[in-house]
Amino acid sequence: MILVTVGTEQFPFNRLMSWIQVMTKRGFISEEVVVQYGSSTTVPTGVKSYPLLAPEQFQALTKQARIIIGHCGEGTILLLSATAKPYILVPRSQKFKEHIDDHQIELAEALAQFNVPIAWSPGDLVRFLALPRIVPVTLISATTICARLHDRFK
Amino acid sequence: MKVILVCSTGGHFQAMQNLYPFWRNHQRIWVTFYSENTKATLDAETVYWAWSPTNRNLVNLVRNVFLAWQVLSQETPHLVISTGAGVAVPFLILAKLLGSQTVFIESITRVKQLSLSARLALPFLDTLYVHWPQLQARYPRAEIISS
Repeated sequence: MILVTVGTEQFPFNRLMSWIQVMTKRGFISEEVVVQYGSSTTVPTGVKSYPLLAPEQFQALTKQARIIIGHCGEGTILLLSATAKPYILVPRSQKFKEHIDDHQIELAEALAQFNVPIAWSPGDLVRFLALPRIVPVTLISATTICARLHDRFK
Repeated sequence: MKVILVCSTGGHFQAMQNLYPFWRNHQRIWVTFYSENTKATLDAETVYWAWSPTNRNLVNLVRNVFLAWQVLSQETPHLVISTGAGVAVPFLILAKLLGSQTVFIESITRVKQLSLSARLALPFLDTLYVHWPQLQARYPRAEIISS
């Protein structure tokens, strides 16, 4: 099963939704797909889709998934750093009104240097889905932040 | 110590949840948006619900300024912490003016430039944490968090 998630962001991510639609229609994806589409206004047909899943339901699906496709948002990065699943990231772009600026593109470029699979096109998605890789993101440490805060504000 | 934790929903809220090892030791008050998730997660906590959306929404900004004034003058916290985004700006600015300490933890997703919220609040921050060396190089006042 492939889990697709685009976070709670107030902007739609219709571009990724249409990529998924094209890939299922043309047979590039034949396995089950579950989509959490958030504020997207285009939703792929023929797949299970939810605007927003309850946290427990979402967690169960991440465990079940063979691979996760997500946008480059904070929650997704936190999720992926806590799981050992293969994943593919697709950055939102300001040009398509998917976010207020292009920070997701900047993050995607930076993560690509750590060998994180970033899909810039449907073709990239097809390629990464065929050869899933697990790239541990160990950039964030809540423990480190807590230790700093603790030292400063005892 | 009395701490106000202010953040929007989604990833920013998750990031604040992950700081549990810090805030569990303190008396705390939450400011975030109402959602099924935040309602259930903060069931046993003190919460003020802020106005959303905040992305370039002037009306909600004004409402959140009033809320910030009300909460901060009532609660007089020692420290206000935010993991982003827009809702944090009036809280951090007013908190500093009213004599609280202020901390902003920038999102991991910010690599080259600070978020608009961080840029607006910057002159009113005691501490700004960032995750990427590129970002710290551009804003020398920021402290880098690395694991």
